[in-house]
Amino acid sequence: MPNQIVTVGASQAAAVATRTLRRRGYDGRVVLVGDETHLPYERPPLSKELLAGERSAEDVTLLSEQWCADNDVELRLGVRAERVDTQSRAVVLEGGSRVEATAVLLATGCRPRRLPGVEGGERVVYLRTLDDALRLRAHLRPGARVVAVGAGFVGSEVASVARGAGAEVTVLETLDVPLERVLGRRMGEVCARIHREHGVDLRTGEAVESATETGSGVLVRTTGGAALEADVVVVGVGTVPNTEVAERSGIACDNGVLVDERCATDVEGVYAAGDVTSHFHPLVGRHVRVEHFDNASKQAMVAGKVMAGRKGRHAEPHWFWSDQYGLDLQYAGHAATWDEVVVRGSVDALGFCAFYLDAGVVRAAFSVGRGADMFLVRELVGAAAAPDPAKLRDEDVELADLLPA
Amino acid sequence: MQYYRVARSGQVPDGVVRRFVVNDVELAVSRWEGDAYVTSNYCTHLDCLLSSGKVTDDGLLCSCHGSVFDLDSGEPISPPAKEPIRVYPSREEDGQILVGLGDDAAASEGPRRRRPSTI
Repeated sequence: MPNQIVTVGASQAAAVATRTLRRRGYDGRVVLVGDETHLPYERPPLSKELLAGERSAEDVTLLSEQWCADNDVELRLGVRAERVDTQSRAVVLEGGSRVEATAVLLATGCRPRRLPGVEGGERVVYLRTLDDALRLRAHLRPGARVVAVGAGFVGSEVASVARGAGAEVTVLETLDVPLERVLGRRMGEVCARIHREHGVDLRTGEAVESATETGSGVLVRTTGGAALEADVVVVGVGTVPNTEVAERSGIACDNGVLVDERCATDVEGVYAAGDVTSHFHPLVGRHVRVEHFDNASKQAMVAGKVMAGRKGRHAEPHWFWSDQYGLDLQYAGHAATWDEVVVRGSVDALGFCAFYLDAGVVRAAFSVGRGADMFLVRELVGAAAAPDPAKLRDEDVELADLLPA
Repeated sequence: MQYYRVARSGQVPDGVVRRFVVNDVELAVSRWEGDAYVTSNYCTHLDCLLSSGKVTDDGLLCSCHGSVFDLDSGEPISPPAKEPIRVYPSREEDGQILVGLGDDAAASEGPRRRRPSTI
């Protein structure tokens, strides 16, 4: 059989892997199997520019039909994969037809975690796809009542766009401060302040019991006994990896498809990249699953390289950004625990970088309005630097001078 | 098209990208595995300067949002950028890096203000 690489999933990781394969001189065919009917597209704008109406559905497309035709890439969209036949190496589609493959890339992504008592519907949106975003967008009008369930990045970005559209926004969060587990209490309080300064009714320590569509709106009941009427509800309370195809194929999973730094699964010839993976990361020292745009791209470039017969290793620090109320929020690295937070800049003026140190080593950093510093911050995290906290705090000391020689 | 001197070869060591301006054209000069490449210095995503990024095995990496461009073709390998950057013909001789520029280059690649972005 001639060389043919098949991706299960046709979103960002699949698109980047495809471009990488071509760049690395892979001359076999590439087939992308995806269950959505849209051309491959990127998701970050779905809670930002696209939701705000600043970008159209065409603007978020990652691979055009022309590019695919020019590069011998076949898009099989609106098609569900059932499993990978790991013996003869083929992707078995729903209905039983087979797509033969010399290598397979699992890039099935993740889906929103569902809340009991909160059915998705016309006015209750679990935001993940382009169609979800377009449906939500239609409700973001001046004076509309918007309830965001969860003050994570999805809920926060939607709140920001909804405020920009002139909507009244309530955000319900079960934790005491937003993003407490990721950022800690002090930085979570900064996020809470940002919401409140922009006119959001942020209610922390409040969980949702039910959300019921009433025909003209949604009735939201909280565990604290409050009843809120909304025109639209958006739910962002975490994700579940789409591991079903991998599991039906006998590929090892544990909160995601398990892969090593080369994006290889435990089955020869089967790779995985993006949100669906639980990947070993040397800076973290164990397997982690993240849902970051940059991670999906980086892993996909590695997978593409490896499938093209070259060496590749995913070892750069994790990194993501969030746009809220015109502010640039960024996070680099991965810190599950830390013993010190060192702030460089001004929290009050919302121009700062907070470094998360564990035993003196910079494991992660969160910045607001300091995008220009983040390139060096990522280098610090990547180098596992252990700078003198006094120097790290001192803005007269260049970050570049704190990198290990 | 005419060839112009951009830089001394030694000004762009391996694994480095530097900014140069020739005839009002904003250029990024990169070197990877010995070869020099001359491209537009503007990321096609939001016009960030690629010379603030870095040269990697995957291509030229923009420091703003992580877009990566192939140095040979200018193809966007990794989003958010989806349009290629312009790659200029270049050669290296007598310790100099030369770039081939057409008459229209300055019009499309002259100094520009970055498009609004969060960074």
